[in-house]
Amino acid sequence: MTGDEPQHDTDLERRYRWLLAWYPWEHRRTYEDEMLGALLADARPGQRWPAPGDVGNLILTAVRARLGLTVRQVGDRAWHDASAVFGLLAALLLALWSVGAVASRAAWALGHPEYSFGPWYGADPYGWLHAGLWCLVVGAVLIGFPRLAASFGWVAVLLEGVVLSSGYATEPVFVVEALWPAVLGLVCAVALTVPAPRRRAVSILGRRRVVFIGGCFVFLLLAMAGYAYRGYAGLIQMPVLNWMMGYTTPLYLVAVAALLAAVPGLPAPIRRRSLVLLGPVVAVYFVVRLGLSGWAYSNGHMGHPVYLVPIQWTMLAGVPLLTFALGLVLLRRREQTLRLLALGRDIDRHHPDPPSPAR
Amino acid sequence: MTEALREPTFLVLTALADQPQHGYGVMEDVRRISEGRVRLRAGTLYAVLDRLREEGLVEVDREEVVQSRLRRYYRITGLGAQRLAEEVTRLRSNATAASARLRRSGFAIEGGPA
Repeated sequence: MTGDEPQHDTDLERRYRWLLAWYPWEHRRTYEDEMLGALLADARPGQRWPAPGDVGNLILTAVRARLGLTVRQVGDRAWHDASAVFGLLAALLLALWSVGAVASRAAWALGHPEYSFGPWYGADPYGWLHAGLWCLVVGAVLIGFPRLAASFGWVAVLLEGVVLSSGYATEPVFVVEALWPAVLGLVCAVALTVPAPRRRAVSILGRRRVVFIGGCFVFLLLAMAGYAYRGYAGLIQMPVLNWMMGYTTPLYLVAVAALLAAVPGLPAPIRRRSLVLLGPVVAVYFVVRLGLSGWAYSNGHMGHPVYLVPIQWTMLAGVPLLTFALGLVLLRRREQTLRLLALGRDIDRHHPDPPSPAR
Repeated sequence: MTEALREPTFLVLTALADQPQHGYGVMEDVRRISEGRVRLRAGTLYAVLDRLREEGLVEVDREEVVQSRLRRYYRITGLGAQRLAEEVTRLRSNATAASARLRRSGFAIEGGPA
């Protein structure tokens, strides 16, 4: 069979088309016709099924093309910008989280000198180190040392990994419930590792917005520390504020709200990518809260630690990864649709009155 | 220093160095050049062509429609020819050094340079 002979074997063509569907759309658009022609020309006379070698080769090269495309997409400028912004916002939240924890304990210790809290003021060295590292990350990003920020971030992530893995034997529920901030730290460190110009996050977010978020966080830290310093007598007598200070969760929700307030002002491609980066963190949170709530409950009633079984570990690792992959797919589809819409609008602008179809 | 070309890439550039060819023509030519030792499959060929186009080493010469299907002819660019020539020099230099040492060690080289 040669390339110029007519091809009647539609079965073979259909099967090759099915295999070529493994390639990304961008590749198919350029090469599908040609590849099909070459495959059919290379087939034996009367051949109805793709040769096993071709099947393996097409699937392998299609998967490689998809991976290559994903890497190229992740390498685009919008991803660099989104990583810089996400890195700063996540580092701010983690700094607030970790500094809030040690500052509250220290303030309580200072406000109650009748108790002995040791040299670390009720916290442990790890808590101080962790808080210090995330503050250094924020400082390095703001000053304009992205590589230094990424290095501090990775040290904080490794430190947290060591602490969590060493505590799993005795307190598995505590460790598993602390996984989502750990995953946030991991995604933050990865985001900060993506190369970006100095102070890119600040220039995208704008100085005012960064100062506003920073101000909110400092206020929250002072409020938490002040409340802890005065103890349950309450620094603030207003019932609502007193209730807020008594529970750290609402305070963190305020912090998250301050961060989310920054999101609508971001360019849409950066906003969409930031949401994709946030996906695994949210997935871990819900897997632990919803999927492992029964396990956590039984741990509290068994009198001894109950550990996660392999299927639960698989769920804990797999769901965030799938969420991220799904986020990438949805992002790609959304931006492809937007591109096509923009193209359609452009054509409409150039040809506002298309000829009516002939009757 | 440029990276060594992989064999399929080297053979595709060699096939196109003679004249512009379409995909199936390149597959057949590579089989001929390598005396049947290398059989490029379509997936590998188009992965190589895609990369070579991106690097500016080959380009589309012309397009035609055969049996309602698009067929492109590819040709090597000046940059591609230069890259192939560099690779030939590198391979020749390595081959010369290897055969000289084998001769010095007393091993006979069948079909090697005199």
